[in-house]
Amino acid sequence: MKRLLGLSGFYLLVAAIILYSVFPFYYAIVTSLKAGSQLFSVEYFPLTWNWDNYISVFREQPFAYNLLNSVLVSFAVVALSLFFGVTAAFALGRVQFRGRGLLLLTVLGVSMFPQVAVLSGMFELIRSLGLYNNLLGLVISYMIFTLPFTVWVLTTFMRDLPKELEEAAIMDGATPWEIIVKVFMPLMWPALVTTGLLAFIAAWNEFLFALTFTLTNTQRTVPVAIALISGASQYELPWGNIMAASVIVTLPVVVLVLIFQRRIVSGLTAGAVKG
Amino acid sequence: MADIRMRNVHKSFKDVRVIERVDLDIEDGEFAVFVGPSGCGKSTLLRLVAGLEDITSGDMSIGGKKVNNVPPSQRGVAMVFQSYALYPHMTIFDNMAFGLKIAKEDNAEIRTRVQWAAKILQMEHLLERLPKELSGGQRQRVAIGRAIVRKPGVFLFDEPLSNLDAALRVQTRIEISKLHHDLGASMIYVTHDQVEAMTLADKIVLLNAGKPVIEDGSVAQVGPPLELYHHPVNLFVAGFIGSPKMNFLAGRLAQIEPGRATVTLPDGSMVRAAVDATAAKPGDAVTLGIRPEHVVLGAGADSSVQAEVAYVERLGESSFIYTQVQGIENSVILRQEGDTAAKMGDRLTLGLAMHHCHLFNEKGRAFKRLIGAAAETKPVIQ
Repeated sequence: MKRLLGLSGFYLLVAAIILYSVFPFYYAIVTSLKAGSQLFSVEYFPLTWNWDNYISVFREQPFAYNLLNSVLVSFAVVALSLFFGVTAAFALGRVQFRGRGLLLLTVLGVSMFPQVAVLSGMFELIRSLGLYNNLLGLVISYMIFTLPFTVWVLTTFMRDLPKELEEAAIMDGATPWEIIVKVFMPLMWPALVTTGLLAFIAAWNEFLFALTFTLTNTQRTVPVAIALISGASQYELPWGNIMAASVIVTLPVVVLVLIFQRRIVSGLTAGAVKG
Repeated sequence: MADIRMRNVHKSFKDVRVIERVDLDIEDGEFAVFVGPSGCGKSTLLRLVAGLEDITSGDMSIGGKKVNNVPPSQRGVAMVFQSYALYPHMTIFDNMAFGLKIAKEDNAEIRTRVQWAAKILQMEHLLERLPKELSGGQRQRVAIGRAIVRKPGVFLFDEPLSNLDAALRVQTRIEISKLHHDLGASMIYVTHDQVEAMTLADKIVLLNAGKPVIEDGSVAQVGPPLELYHHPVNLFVAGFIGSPKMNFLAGRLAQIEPGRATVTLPDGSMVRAAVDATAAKPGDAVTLGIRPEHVVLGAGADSSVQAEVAYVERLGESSFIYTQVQGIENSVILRQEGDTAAKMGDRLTLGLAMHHCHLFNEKGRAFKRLIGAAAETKPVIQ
């Protein structure tokens, strides 16, 4: 009896958590499927399946461009972050040199600056590089928050890989680059996937830099584009379009997480050393 | 040709001097074993040969070529690690082929060499598996296979058997010995197990630990296993080789004759040893050494001492009797074949044969024994 009570209490809690985290997204989906004045009645189930909002998002503004921008920027950020993260992690995790601890702390320190604090300086930097209103400017500025945690996570992971593996590879004649690519990277899949995914989500959702460093509608990324969706007059807020756009942006992230969830498995190092 | 020559090799980590003044020659095709107590730097010495550590000063050459600054992969050496260090994401084939692929060997050649190595180690059926699917012994073979395919002049083994269970250890030991015979390459083998050292080595390199490293250099004694057993140069070597360790009895020199020295023990008994002690003078403090397997029961031997049994260990094939001699701090152990009737408190007479006694001076250096190693070799009875 007591067990049953405990069990039902547990599932009640689980249900509450799921409801809390999924409901806003669910409501966005429901709303995005409504048309016209239906929007202003509260319904918890989609009574009609109306796709007009999804079509008008693409028709009324360059939403396809925005999506493409977001994809380009996010993937570039992930690729560059992982590249710099892995190479930096090799140096910080496996090479002894003076000032290593200080360097790691500095990297961590950088991640503590609030975005607003670096905004104006970053703006000058981007402009002097001639990257204002350019996707490359976004990629560079996003790395300021993706690199610190990529470097940290990968460094800890890299440091825990057995030293003998590296030495065996050295005996086999591998260069540091070959050691990273052929020996360490395959073992770091879980860490690479996790950090890559986090970097992707951060870049995909970023708003402040994207708003500040872009000017024209065709260079904007999705979060900014959604925020700037406007109706026919300034008194109209096109809820339907905004919700449809929100659903469209959220889906890729959900899909990515579901795909890579399977790859985030530990125990890949099993069999490397004695056991 | 892959002979290894070390001249005055030093290694220090920051201020800690780990390896001191090593002069060592390992001939082509020789099986050398580095042995010593833990912390003596035997693994470090091996890693110096491998090139995983740089030597601080001195010279090292492999096959006549100076290698002080040559990277590991170009020294013609291959190493088997204690933890195997297999690449966990690669199949056994890829593990063994990795070095060859890095060296840009052509595919057919890689295939032949891996097959050849797999055949030697009898693991052709395992080539497509991953390391995690293998047992400890099989992983050990893969690690050896990875070394073999590169056809190195020198094999380096860093305590390769310490992760295996006892039965597998004996079997693998025999296989490594056979491998050495078949391949004819030089091998350096690090272990703390003196049975492995005695059985595998052509040449044992026994390393000092602690203070003697600074005083005498890292190498305590180099020589064939039986030379270290029969003619240890000092107390440390005498105590390290042999199990249980040699009995040491402190005493004073009473009389010195050519080829013979007489020692007075604290209890007053006189023991004679067949050593050349002409460099010393009567009255000098000395240590008499005799191995447990050489102590006999009864008064028939050249000299004898009285002792009381403190403890008996029965192993079946033999027994160890721990006895206390008056005035001697540590117990004197004797080994008896088979079972023994001795029990605690019994008084015994220990016979010490003159030609089995070792003698060390105050500083622990051995006086030269006048018995050749061959004299103690038992003839084969047909």
